[in-house]
Amino acid sequence: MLFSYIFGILIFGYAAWTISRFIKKSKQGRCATCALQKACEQKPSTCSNVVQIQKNEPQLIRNQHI
Amino acid sequence: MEVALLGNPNTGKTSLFNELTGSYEYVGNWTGVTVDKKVGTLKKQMGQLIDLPGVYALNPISKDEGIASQYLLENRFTSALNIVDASQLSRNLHLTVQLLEFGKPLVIGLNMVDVAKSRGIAIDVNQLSEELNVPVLPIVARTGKGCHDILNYFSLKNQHVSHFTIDYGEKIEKAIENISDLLHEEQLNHRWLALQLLQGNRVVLDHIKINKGIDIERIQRIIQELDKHIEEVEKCSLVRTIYSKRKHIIDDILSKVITREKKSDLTFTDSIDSIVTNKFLGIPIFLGIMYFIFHMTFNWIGTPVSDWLDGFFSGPLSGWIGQGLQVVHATPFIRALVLNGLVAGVGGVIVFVPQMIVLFFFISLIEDSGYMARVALVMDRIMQAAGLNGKSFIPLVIGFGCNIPGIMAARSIEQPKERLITVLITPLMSCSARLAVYSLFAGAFFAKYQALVVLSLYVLGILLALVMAKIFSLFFKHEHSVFVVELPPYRIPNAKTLFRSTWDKSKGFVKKATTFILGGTVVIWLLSYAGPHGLNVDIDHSFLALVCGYIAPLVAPLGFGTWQAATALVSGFLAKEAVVSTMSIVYHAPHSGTLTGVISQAFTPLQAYTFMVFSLLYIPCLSTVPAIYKEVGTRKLTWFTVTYCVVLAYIVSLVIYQGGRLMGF
Ligand SMILES: Nc1nc2c(ncn2[C@@H]2O[C@H](COP(=O)(O)OP(=O)(O)OP(=O)(O)O)[C@@H](O)[C@H]2O)c(=O)[nH]1
Ligand SMILES: [Mg+2]
Repeated sequence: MLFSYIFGILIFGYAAWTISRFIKKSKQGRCATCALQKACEQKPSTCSNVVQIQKNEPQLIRNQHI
Repeated sequence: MEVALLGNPNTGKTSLFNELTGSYEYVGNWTGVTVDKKVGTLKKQMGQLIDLPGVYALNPISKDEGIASQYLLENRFTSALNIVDASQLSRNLHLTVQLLEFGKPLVIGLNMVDVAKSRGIAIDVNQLSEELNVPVLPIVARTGKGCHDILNYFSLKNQHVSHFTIDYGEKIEKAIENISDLLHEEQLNHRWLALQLLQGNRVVLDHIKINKGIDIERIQRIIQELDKHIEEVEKCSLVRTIYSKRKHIIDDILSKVITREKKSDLTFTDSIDSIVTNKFLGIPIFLGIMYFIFHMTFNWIGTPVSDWLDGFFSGPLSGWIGQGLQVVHATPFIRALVLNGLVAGVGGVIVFVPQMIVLFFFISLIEDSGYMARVALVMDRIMQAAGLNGKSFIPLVIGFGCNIPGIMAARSIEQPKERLITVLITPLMSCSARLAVYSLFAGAFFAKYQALVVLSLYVLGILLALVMAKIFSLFFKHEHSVFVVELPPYRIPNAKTLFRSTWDKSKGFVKKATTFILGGTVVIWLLSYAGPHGLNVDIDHSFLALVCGYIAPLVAPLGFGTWQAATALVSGFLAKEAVVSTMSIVYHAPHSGTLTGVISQAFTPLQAYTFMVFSLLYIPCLSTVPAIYKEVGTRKLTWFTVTYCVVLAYIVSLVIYQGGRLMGF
């Protein structure tokens, strides 16, 4: 009986923890929740106010070598 | 100490980053793999290393390039490490020149010396170092050769500050001087700032604007006057003139440091390209490769292993756990929680790990071989018909792994309109989590044709994405678009990279299954165990059945109007794998055998296919929504994306189900 209580609390505690962590991380827009977390983990504010500009150098370089 | 990694795209910055920090970040053989700043700790705790997106010049064109320029302006790093591709020196040195003008301590990592050597290009490293007046360290980032020298270099205290100036000619020099006098920057090199302004660098312009009391108008007048003058005298724009001046110097340096031993032979890459990028063969080859991958994943390797695992989980493992629980006298509640909840739910997802590993292996293979850029090229014509261009296809392919990095990869698209549309359509790509749903249903209903059925779903996702892109692009005014893609030489994928990449992705899947999916499983199980009449009710009278019974009629016209299917779809919004784990719980009946068996009783093949289509499209998962928000920037557009996915999924599923019924399936 005692075992069942402890075990139940452990499982529900762990479940609650994982869910709250998931929601928190999702909200931050971080993707520790996505399968490829390494490929997309990001620091906030790295891409603020980058202005789009016109291309002024032709940069199509197909297999260009020295 | 903070060292910044800067260099052209696809020159091996991230490979070196991984080598020097002992971490694993995303590496791939195309331009624009890294789209964000990554921070790592140098081995021996020497300091921090910052990996940045690759840039051709400091004047950013796309959003990811802007991140690098902004870093340069705003961060006080100690030293810059410029990675230069030895096999493409002349182009790479344009960036190097600008970094030298920046005036911070700089060291050049001359990467890919192995490639250069195999092409018969010999580089006199000492001479190059002398000409540029900076240390040059030859390395092979992918194997780690020479990387130790870089660590050793940074452990030295006195670091070299470069002094390298190009004489741009009297008029330009005068303008540089005049602009420099007007600047109040304390941290940044005035000459460099002036030169960047002359080149029309908007990020720099915005940066100096922050400083009040700066006479922007005067600066702009100086630039305009100079531009007009150059235009008249040289018959060429100011930007072009600066570029030519640099090119001249670079060519001069290269003539001194490079000796060609034999003609460069590109025959290998060229001959493959003549087939895979062929106008008629290109797309069939791409589809053929995808079909092959799915065939490997489902029919040959993945499914047999998965089936074995499934049998093990539902048979011996459940038996052992059951006995174990008996020994410790666990209550019936705990027994049900563990066996019908955890083992069924989490186990139901974990059984697909073998398929994931196979799929991820092939995705990594495509990423590291150089085929990715070819796919973009091949798809260009179709993408143009949809109002985008070939480059948008790269985020879509990345989206096959997981939609979030796909959405972020859109940053490397130059055109804002095309970038936005790409972000909006990427959630329609069939990510690996959805693959678990396909595995379950295709395995139960279309055992022989699994690969074909899954391929059809992927292609359906792409086609609908293109249709939606076309519709969205009608709402934007037409802007001139350029298709810029660099075709890197093919590389035999590195075994280590391949392993790390596959491992990393598979680990993510398992981790998610054992954390969040587990948590969700417990909740779902509890709701299926409890009902208005207490605990351990018949599952059809549980809270879950009651609540989701209200949703079921909504999806009934699509062929799956049961509360079980509705529950699975609701939890699938949190994560698509949860569709499977939820089904395992709600369809779990003792002694009923594996889930596949139960499912094949509960659906008809047409219903199953429609369910797969609906799961593919119906909503971006919970983690994807903030990622969309981050890229599109407005709540309205984020909501719009979620809504249009639901509507589209409903319409398409309805057409398929009702159409299929009319045809007698
Ligand atoms: N042969 C050879 N290949 C290399 C070397 N260094 C890196 N590569 C390969 O080059 C490709 C690009 O490597 P990345 O490290 O992703 O390049 P990156 O500079 O970070 O690219 P972006 O993030 O797109 O700017 C990968 O396929 C690597 O395996 C090298 O020294 N020799
Ligand atoms: Mg990179």
